[in-house]
Amino acid sequence: MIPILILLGVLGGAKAGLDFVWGIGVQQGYAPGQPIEFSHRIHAGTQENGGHEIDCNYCHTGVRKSKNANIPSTNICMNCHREIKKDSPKLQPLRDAVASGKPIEWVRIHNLPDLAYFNHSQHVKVGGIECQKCHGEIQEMDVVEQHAELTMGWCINCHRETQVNAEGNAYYDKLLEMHKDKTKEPMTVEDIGGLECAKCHY
Amino acid sequence: MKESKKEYWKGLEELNPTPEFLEDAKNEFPSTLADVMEEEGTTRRDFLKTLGFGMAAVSLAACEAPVRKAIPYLNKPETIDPGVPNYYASTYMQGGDYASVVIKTREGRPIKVEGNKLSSLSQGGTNARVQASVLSLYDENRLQKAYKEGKEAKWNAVDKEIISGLQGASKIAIVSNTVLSPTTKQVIKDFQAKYPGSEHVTYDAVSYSAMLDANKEMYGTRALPSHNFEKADVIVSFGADFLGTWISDIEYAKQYSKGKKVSNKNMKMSRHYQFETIMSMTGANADYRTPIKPSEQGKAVAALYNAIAGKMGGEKISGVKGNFENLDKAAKDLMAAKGKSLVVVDSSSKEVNMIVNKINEMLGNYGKTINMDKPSFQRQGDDSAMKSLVAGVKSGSVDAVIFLACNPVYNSAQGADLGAALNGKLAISTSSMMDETASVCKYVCPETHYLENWDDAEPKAGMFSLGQPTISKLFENRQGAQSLMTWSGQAGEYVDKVKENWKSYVMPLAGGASFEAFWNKALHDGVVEVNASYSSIHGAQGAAAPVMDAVAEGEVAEVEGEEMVEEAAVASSGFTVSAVAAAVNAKSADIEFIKYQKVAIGDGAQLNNPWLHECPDPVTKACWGDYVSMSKATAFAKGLMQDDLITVFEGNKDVKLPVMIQPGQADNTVAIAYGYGRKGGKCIDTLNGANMFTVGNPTVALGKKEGTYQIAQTQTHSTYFGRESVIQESTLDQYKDLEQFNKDKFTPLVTGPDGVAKAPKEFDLYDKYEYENHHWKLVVDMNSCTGCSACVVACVAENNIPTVGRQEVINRRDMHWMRIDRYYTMDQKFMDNDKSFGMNDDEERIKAVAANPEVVFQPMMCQHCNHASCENVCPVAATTHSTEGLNMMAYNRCIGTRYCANNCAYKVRRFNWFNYADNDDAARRKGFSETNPTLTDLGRMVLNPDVVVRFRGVMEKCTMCVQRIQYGKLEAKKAGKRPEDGDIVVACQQACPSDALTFGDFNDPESAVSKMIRDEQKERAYVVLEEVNTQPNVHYLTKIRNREVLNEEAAKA
Repeated sequence: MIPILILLGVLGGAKAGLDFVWGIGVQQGYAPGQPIEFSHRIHAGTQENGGHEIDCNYCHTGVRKSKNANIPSTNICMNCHREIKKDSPKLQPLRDAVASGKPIEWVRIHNLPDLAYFNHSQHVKVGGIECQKCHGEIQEMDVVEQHAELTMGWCINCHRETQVNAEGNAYYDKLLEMHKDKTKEPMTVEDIGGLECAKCHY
Repeated sequence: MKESKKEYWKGLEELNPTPEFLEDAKNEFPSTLADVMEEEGTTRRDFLKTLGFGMAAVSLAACEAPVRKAIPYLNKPETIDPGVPNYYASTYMQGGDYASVVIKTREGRPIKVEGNKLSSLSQGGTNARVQASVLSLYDENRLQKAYKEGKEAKWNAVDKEIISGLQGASKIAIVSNTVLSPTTKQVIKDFQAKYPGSEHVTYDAVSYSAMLDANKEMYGTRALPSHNFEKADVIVSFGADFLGTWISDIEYAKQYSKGKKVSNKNMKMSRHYQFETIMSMTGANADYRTPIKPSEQGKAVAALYNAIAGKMGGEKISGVKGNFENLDKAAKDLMAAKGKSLVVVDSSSKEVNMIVNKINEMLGNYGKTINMDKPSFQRQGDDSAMKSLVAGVKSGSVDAVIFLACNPVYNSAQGADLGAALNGKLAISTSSMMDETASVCKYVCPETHYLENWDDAEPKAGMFSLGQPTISKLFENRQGAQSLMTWSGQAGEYVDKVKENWKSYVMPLAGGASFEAFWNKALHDGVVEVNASYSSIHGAQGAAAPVMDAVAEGEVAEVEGEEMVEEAAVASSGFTVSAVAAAVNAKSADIEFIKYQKVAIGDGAQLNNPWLHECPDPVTKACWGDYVSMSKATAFAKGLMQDDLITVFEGNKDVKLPVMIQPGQADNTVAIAYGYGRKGGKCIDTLNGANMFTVGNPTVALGKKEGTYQIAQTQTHSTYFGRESVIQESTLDQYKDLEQFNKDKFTPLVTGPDGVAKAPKEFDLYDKYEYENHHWKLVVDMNSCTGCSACVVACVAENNIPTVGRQEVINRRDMHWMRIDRYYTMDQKFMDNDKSFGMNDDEERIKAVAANPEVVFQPMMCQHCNHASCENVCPVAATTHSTEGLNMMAYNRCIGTRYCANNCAYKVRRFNWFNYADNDDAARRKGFSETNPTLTDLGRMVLNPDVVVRFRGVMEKCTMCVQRIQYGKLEAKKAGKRPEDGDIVVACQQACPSDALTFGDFNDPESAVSKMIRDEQKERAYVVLEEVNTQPNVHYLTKIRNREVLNEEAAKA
């Protein structure tokens, strides 16, 4: 009995140790303070929630055309805040930035390692994925936190499960046809090579 | 192919290999290397491993991830989106070197130079120097402020002093290299108007004065002609390295390769004769090559003249002696291709240039393959003007000199005199580096880089191009022309001058109603081309025209004899056989000396650029440094070996260089490259070498060996001893008989257990691969590849490949993903006379074999094998196969066992022995900080942000530019279509000036690759080492030489 307990203890310890090691560098839930207390709820949230339902694209201009979604530049903020709440003390850093010519230094929340290539436009424009799928209910957040693990396993899982947004995109026509010949299952990202190393690592 | 029985070798050491060499050739790395161990010590290493692991675990647990900042634009420019590249058309100019380019920028940083396809001159091609020029922008040795007497000074103060100095000067001279910019010329003219009596002296580091003077004398225009190698069926070159360094090499390479393109539907290709001293890259591509001594060049040219004049009934040049192999044959071919041939020469003798002009005239080539009515302005230097300037400075009659981005103290013949005479004068340099001239000038007002400023160019009459800044100025520098404007009180910005000039000069020629629209289009396209002749533009043009003499009325060429040229397309004067006869017989010497330009180094203007040094010379395959080359026979006679350090000239102890034994070089000659022997730059200071610009014409007296200096040569790294299935070549005549050609094609067979010989692919252990989506393939046409190595540098720039420096190249740790294997092969007559030729030959035989070998260039990169031998030996599955036919490499999986490299049949995998990108610990790894640009923040700006910088201990190799594939696919998906052929181009293909590489989707039946492979499958298409059944996705097309079958010697034997 005792040896079994010892073994279980060792295994349990090993598991805990491994989990700990796997967790290193994973910043899920990371919600640092920012130079301006920017609330996504107020800007993008629903009206019932006290928000203004601004489209994400309005500020994150790169999300449909670039790998980067882009943190909005100060001039985009000032499009509205030139008129709205223009004397709010909370927006003083914004006005300082304009006056001094020094851009605001936001704290970066989502940090993918350099070795992984991620492209927003591939997922949002081509894949038709909602922002919330990875970023959580961002329109409810007063302080943004990292919703997803952003680990490779998390990426891969999604690529295994997600059906490719292929209908109506001529790029996928032939692939979809071939896939339908083989199976009735939906065509996932995995089916068209979405788990291969060189899709993200180069 | 019958000729594939020829044997190939990469270096002489393969012909007579030592046991050590054979041992090293078997292994990926030489066994002698132990520097890592020596430096670190085993015990310490093990200790560190243990300690490091423990420390890492503790510290990882203890500390939080660092806070990273995301800093957006304050005011985002509408056209810039972080993550999306922007492209700007611009113009590369370096002296007279010209290329119309498109600059790729990311987040406001230029990171890559591409060719501009809209230019009919450079036609989208580039060369190694153009490719590397983006790195020169981030050169930390560029001056960053104005200097007065060697000390930093304020621009305002310097300007003030210069202006008062100029006003007090009695005579001012502006010295420059060739100026291609019409606007800069206008600025100089306005400067001269402000300071009457001031002169503008143009010189070229490597002078074309003789050619210009010859043209001036014969055609009244001091300009170079346009050449068209594409239309020439027969090309004869006397020492002109027109594919590598001569006048307009990118343009010529484009033309030349078009004339060499063959397929089973087009069996026509040009024939190229080369008579030269060194084995130049151009000579290496020739169908017939004859080594001649420099003193024989005039005789050979005259002999060709006489042969042609004899047949056409013209007057011969008397007193021409000498018999040159292949010369009569060349004359015969030229006569048969009148109006479709081209003779070129690289000679410092005006008369020899005139004879060549006359030969082209007699052949009716003017107006067809050579054109004086659309002259090239790519070299404008005048040696005699430079000479009198130096005399003027010495005598004091010129008391103020402005050096406009040139370095004559280093690279003009009277440099030393000039340097000494400048003392105490008002000397101003606009050089961007503290070079030899700048350091003796009172004021240095450093120039901006071409990627930082506006400019324009007119490389040929009627061909205009614009240069635009692609980044704001990195330092407090100022464009040279702007400085001239400041000093001569011309108001405004240089860019406004450019606009003004284009409005008044270019637009009227090109037509167009609104200047705004014209300008925007010109800026977008980069080029404006007007189909007008020189006389129609510059005959009537006044102010802005390049400073040229008006076209003189010449006599109509008199062509006598029975065979009249179809039309006299050119009017020339001043040529008489008696006038040129004296120049033909140059003085000969026991050992003659020739200076030349290396393909990557050129005249040395970018000598501080490590990419160019790491790029192996196309022919010698040497990196990092200077050497004196000579033939095997000459070295043997003098008792010299490769790497022996010797003095070369009589009474000159300064020129001490290692010996390079160069097959194919004329016996009893030595050659040294221009561009070396400088100081004053991080990278430059690591180089050995001697300055050949100021050395004059010394007497050669090869000294005794004084030690050794190992030349960093890559030629026998990654050797596979030129197996039969690596290089396949044939001749045009054999190719014309397609049926026989198919039969003769080398097809390896493997005998199975049943005793039946079958194609290797019949024996298959692998799963069948299916490529449903894309199937990427690359086709390399060995008939087009000239070996120029633009692709090698382009690959470095695109893929963040580290430069490792001389010692690491010697250690065979060069990191280039793409290399160009240069194979020598013996002339056919050796095969015919002695079939047993091969290894272990004695020196005498090697001498004979190396006297004038044929050359093959083979670009070699990861072959992306469908049955990849690397993939199944990786213990951690770091290298795997994609569903698109790519062999993928996941760096972060790699644990550095190097099994894959050991198992690679093509030796194309590269291992990061050091952390090249970060390791500037000079004590530990001396060299990287000098040679690897990415060790500083400034140098790191050149990195491609889409490609990872690899860390120590991981394997890397060609990815087929997977970042470009992914980008192209994404763009297609966003547009809702399939990527079209040509939407995705890989870096090497894009850089290639001879269209030797074609990349595309084999699944697309309309793509160029699938057509090419389908069409050529039976004949020219083959894969390297087919017998090992790796089934590569890189296909090669057999090299075809336009030689006669088994040539006459064989028939006689």
